[in-house]
Amino acid sequence: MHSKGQRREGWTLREEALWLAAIRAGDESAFTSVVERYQSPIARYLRRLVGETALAEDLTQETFLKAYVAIIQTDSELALRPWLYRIATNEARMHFRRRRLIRFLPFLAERHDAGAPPAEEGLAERDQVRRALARLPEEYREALLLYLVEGFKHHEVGAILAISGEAARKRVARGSEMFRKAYAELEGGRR
Amino acid sequence: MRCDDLQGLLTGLVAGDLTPAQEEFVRLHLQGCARCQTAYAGLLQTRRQLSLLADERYQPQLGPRVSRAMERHRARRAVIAWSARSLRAAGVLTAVALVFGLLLWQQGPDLRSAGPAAPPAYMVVGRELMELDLANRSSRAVKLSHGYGTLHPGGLVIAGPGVYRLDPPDLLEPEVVPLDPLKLGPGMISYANFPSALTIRDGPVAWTVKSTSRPRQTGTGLPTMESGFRLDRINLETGEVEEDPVWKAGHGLAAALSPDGRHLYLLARLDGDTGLFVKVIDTRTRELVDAHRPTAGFGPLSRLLISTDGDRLFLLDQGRLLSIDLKRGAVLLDREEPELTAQAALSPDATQLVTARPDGGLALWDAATGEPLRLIEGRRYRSLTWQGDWLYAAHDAGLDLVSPTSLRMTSSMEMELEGDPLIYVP
Repeated sequence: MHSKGQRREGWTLREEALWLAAIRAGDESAFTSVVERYQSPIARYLRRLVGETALAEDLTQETFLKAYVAIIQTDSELALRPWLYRIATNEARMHFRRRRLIRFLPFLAERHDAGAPPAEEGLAERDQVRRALARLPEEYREALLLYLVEGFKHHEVGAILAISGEAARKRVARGSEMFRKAYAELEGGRR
Repeated sequence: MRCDDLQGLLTGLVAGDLTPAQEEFVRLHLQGCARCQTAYAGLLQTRRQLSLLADERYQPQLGPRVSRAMERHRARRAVIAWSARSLRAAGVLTAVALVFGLLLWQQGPDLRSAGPAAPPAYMVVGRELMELDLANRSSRAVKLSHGYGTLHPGGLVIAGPGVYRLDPPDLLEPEVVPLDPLKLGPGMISYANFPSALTIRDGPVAWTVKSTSRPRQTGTGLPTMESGFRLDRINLETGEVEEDPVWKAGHGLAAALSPDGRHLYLLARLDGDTGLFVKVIDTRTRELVDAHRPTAGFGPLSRLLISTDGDRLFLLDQGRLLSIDLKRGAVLLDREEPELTAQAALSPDATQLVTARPDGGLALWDAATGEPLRLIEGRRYRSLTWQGDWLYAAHDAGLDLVSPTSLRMTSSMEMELEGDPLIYVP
């Protein structure tokens, strides 16, 4: 559980403002620092959302490219972390729209890439969680991941998904119900 | 509060995302509700399972890829700029073809056939204030300088520490009025995407229902907190917030202003009382002058509407309609009807109501008798605004212009919308 006082990944608002000012002044190494700071959380989020590592990395690349273009073209204030997640979410949505079909591929590659593999039982449950999540419509999957995994507050989830904070809460609640139902169906099919 | 309404707060409890007052309220409810206890346990299980997806070992190194992508982007822009210069030399017609091709890259509202002349509508979508002119097949947007904003009745956008006044001649060149952030309360922001927002503009001022609380001694000697509200007045010329010195009991859920601006009607709940009240507040003195107690069936998402003559109040929720004569304080209509919802709009002459149907489509009602006049199937609408001869109806995929007599869509604009966006038609 993420407590209210816990500092999540990312910089303070003041640090972010300094990096943004540097980027707008033409300092590309400042943007490189932004990429280094946020590439892992963004890529992990996209990987959970789209279910494929290579695709997630492509979408992460596009996220940062769009972020760079937007930063140098505007001078408005930005809360960098939720803003990057919003771009990433939109990239995933555009991908889904283009593909029209969502296929879930288990992360078989990581079982070979990782160090000592986790216990078989835990891995099976994790795969089942991923499969259940993949059964959800995209908008509910996004909300669940942002709220319960990435640790955003409900009003931040609303800002990322361009909905109200209250609508975000409702979407998480509904998404949780749908997830539990999907998980139970998969559990029933396994036995 | 009904259990269905509590689901969102249960997820907040799981995530540690509630205020102390909310957490106390939810835990008290859980003590006596087996259904919500089961739902809460399910949410804890969901969170545990989703936490299995955390994979800190995955550390992609995408810096070089992003750098190469940025170089390709710059090279592409240079080619486009060079092409534009060459084509200007080559001729105007060729340049027009290139610009058209570039426009196809952009994503914007998809415009379908335009209807007859209807005034443009204004909505806040994400970080933009949009003007949607369905008659002329055009849209404009401005970025809110303070980030995500919310549109409020009367033509007001609240974004961060400032408000934008939407005024003629061009509502997309709004005046920004900074406010003292210490004087902003949750009432200015919360429920802002619901049609009955708690901040309402009345010309040069705005009224905002600001939630507050105060200690209350109980019979056991243990102090608790009592929910209340104040009605603050905002001067939209200077940004000065005049705080209400009179504390009033209750937690505000929805508000509407009388057409003459003299009374604010607030749907409120009192601590320890499962029912609701419609409180009537005199805006000159900011004192409570009357209260109405609706029968059961209304909740925090109810919609409050006032007739343009200020004589009647309508309260709508899922399956319920209540109409009150405000001069006599008498209930005119109290109706249960499954096709009713809180997504509602009142005709300018207050003789008819249009509501979104729960399973999609629209319903037209006689506002005096509550009898249905017409039912059609269609989209699931999230909010409705009736202005003159036109009904503006927002759904997940955009905004429709609907004929209030036939309830048929006459034109539409597509864009991604979420929540229950307020539609402002001046």
